[in-house]
Amino acid sequence: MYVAEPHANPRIWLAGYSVWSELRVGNLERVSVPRQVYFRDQGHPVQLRVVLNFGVIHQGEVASLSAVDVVLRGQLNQLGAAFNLNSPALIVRQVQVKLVQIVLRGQVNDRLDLGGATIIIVWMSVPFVVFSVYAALTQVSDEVLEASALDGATGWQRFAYIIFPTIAPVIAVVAVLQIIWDLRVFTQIYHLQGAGGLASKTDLLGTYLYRLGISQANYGVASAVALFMLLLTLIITAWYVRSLLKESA
Amino acid sequence: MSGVTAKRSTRIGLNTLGVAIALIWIFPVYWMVNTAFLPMDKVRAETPTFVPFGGDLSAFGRVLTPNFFNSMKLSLSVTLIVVAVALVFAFLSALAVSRFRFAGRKGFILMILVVQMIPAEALFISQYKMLQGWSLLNSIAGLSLVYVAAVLPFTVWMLRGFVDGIPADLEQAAMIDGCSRTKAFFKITFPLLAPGLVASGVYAFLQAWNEFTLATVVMSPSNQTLPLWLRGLAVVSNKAVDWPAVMAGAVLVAVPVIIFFMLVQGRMTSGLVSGAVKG
Repeated sequence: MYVAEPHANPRIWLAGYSVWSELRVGNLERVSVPRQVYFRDQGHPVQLRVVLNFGVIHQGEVASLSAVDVVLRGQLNQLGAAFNLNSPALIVRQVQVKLVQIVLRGQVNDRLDLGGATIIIVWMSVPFVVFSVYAALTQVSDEVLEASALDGATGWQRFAYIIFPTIAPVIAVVAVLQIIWDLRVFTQIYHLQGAGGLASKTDLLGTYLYRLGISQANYGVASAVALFMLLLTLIITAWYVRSLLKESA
Repeated sequence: MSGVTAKRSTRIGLNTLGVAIALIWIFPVYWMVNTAFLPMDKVRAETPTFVPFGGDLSAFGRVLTPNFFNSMKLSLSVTLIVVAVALVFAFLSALAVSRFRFAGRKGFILMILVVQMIPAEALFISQYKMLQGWSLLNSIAGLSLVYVAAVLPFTVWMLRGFVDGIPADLEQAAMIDGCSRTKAFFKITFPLLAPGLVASGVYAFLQAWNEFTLATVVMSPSNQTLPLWLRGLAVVSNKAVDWPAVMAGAVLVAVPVIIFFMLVQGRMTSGLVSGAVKG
């Protein structure tokens, strides 16, 4: 006869769901902020707090900025000795140390805000859209345009009734892809944070996920965030997915 | 008469606006090239230097190191493998999805879309573990493998649209004239698909060439792709960042992309399909 282990938790299957409770909005702030290296410049000297995964290593006023540098390097060396040198945790730590070093070099005021990030992402997204729409425009039939012009259609009418309906499917696909890609934008934010952005103010879901999963090895919550992103994307793009399923039935 | 004048001034206004937006858009690219030629004191000066007069090529000399050539070799190998492999798989897959009706086809199409919504960062750990298990970490094969997996959903998706645009009637006509199904695909559909293949190839090329994060995870510091190498220039300890060199590096990283693009852009004009079928 099967006997349950004495200490087995009867609700063990629920355990996996506990990560979801950490996803509450208030906690998003709480879990991400203290783990980051962040700075507050309240005049001089620079008020600085460095908190890393392995606990608080330095807090309060820093007489010499290079002192923090030394502490960080010491920690890095210890880590390197303790773990496999190629482990991703160490790589991430090296990035963190670099980040601290950059910001220490006098770029404390140079902050990135989400407005700046938006401009950059729009800037880099435009070429793909232009390219796709240009390709779609080559499919618009010249004969039909000419015929409509002869029938007296104005430029706007030609655009609204002929050109736009022809390229509409491409615009829909491009819109959905942009939604998908922009919801998971990572690299630009990550680098701008490295160049002095305040991580707690500029974290998007992608960078937050990276911080949770790879910097802090908090795989459960990170996976929950990933699933949350997936659901969010699915909800936003549901209109397109539905029309797609209808069309390819 | 006044109507025509108004129309003309509107057009001039819109054109000016268009040119202004284009100039704003291109400015960061120009600034990259400009800075690459300037000496450090001009880059850091309070008054910006807008044209590289009095500049030289010394920044390029500083970045053309053995490290650069190693990274270039690595990036080129990975990118070419990714483009070739991804195009073969995507082509076959797009044909299957577009031309055949099979059980689970709808689910497959949906999956291709949904799989792109999963954040890449969420997959890093499992990808790292898998590559580690196959001893493919820090290798061209390993990096190419994860890149192919990353670009395939989109390339299949894109090619599917192009295959849908080629009338199946053409293949059927060829089959009636005695072509086998395979022969009809390769003799008729494949040439008509050239613009689609080029567009997907460009996408795969850019993705593999520019990818940073996954390369950080998979490659070791001694074996870097170009984006990692470039990042290494901008992130130095114990000395000031040599911005002209960083920008020269960025220009050098952009050059192969521009060459590739100039080679293929003529093939992208997709007017090939038009007129193939009347009505």
